[in-house]
Amino acid sequence: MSEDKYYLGIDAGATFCKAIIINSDRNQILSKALSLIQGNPKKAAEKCIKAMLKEEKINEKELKKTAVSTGQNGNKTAIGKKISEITCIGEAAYFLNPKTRIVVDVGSFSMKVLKMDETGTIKDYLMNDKCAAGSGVLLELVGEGLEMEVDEISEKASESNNPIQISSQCSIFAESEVISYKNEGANVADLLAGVCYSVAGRIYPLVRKVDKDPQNVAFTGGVALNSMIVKNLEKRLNIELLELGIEPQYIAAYGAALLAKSNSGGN
Amino acid sequence: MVTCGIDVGSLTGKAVILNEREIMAQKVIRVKRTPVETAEKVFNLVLSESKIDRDEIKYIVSTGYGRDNIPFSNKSVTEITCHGIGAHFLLPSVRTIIDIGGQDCKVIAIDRTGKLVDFLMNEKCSAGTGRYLEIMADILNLSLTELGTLSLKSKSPISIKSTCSIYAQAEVLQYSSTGFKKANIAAGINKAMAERVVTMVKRLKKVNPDVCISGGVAKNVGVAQHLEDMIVTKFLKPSSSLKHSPFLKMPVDPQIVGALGAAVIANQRYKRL
Repeated sequence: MSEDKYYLGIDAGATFCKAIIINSDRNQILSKALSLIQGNPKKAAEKCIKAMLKEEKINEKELKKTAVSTGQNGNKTAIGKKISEITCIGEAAYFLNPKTRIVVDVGSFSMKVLKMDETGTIKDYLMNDKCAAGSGVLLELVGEGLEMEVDEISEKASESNNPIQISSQCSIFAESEVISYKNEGANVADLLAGVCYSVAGRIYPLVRKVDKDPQNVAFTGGVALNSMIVKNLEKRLNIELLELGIEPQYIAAYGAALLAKSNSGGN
Repeated sequence: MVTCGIDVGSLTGKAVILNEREIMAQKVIRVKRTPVETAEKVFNLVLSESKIDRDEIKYIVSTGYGRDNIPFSNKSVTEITCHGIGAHFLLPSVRTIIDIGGQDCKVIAIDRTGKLVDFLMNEKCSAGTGRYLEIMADILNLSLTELGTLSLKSKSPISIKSTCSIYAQAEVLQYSSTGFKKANIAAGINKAMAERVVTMVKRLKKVNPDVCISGGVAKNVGVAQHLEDMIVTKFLKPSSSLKHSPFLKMPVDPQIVGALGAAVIANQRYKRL
């Protein structure tokens, strides 16, 4: 039996940097960390590494040698090799659930939909990185505007019986719309449900653009933490989304770690 | 005969009291909780400023996004029409009006009588509207006017690559936190803003001189300067045989053009009664 090796994947997104260390033995997540980018992806990545290595006796230098960075700010971490998010997300989703054919990844700034064949090879993908409509930023803006945490939104929204339709496309206008409804005395749960539906409503057409009849779809990225959006997307697609068994915001970092391993000769 | 025009926009409410060709009073306020509240407030303010009795006002026209359901208004008219009429009233040679409001941007083509010929409007995307500048001015901790004046001091404006306000905001934050000069950031913001507007102007069949800018954003000298340069060089230079500059300055507060147009329409309407 050979000694254990460790591999590092870093996903420096628009808002958060996510990092994962896996154990070469069974690709299990040994440690993971998340930190705010705040205009400095390099610092955020180092912070994650420091937090992860605190309790592990792993050689940092060795770890960085084989590391893979991904994400919008991936080339700014100055750690390891840079691989595209699409590749990393596809790698992880297929590894975690080989049934996966479509992955919808919605982060705080952008969304991506990718399509794979039965071998996990990426066949097609679409990205919306020109306009923030439909991304998680609306949840953040609404959270700020209504003075609540982003992770409270879906729980509060689930109390709604009568969601209010948000008509603005632009996230900035949508936030104003929400605030003016609130000022007019609208029910907050109904408003939040409307916000969740509006986000799902922006994601749906991108999925349909990639595949007319999407089946075996996994939903990842920070926005997938919102159960109201998940449910509404399932309803619109008329399917049940696949389980990947990972916190959805770590998917790209996990894929990066898997690629770090295969790039350095591990199986 | 005295008439009143009220323009309830997304961010501000404007009112003008007009006595035939004379502007007797004008007011601009931040919006209140509801459009009706805004209209009432700005109407009362403009009344007390003009020292005119409520009963002397023969006809009231409301316009802007909150124009409907204003209880004391005699008629509501779209802001496109009002901006055309208002600009024509002030500057009879104007044929193209670029109106940049708090949450929209319009390009309006009128004929020699002020009648609408063509128009384009963006109210879907915040890029290229006043909101874009507000967000950016906030990051730099500047007022909208300061964003304009400060930008004139810049020699090398930053370049903003994103169209989307949200992405552009992140870009500006990054510039701001990495020590770029405020003047250069401000100039880059104004230039990006002007580019968004010009993209829309391009879709108009023909840009006829003279051109003017109205709306709150016209008060930002930086945006106005960039717009003028881009529009004159892109659309007017080769065909323009005009002796004067085809880009005209509004002789009044450019924010009240819509309300003024409403007051002019009120005057015409009343005479036709």
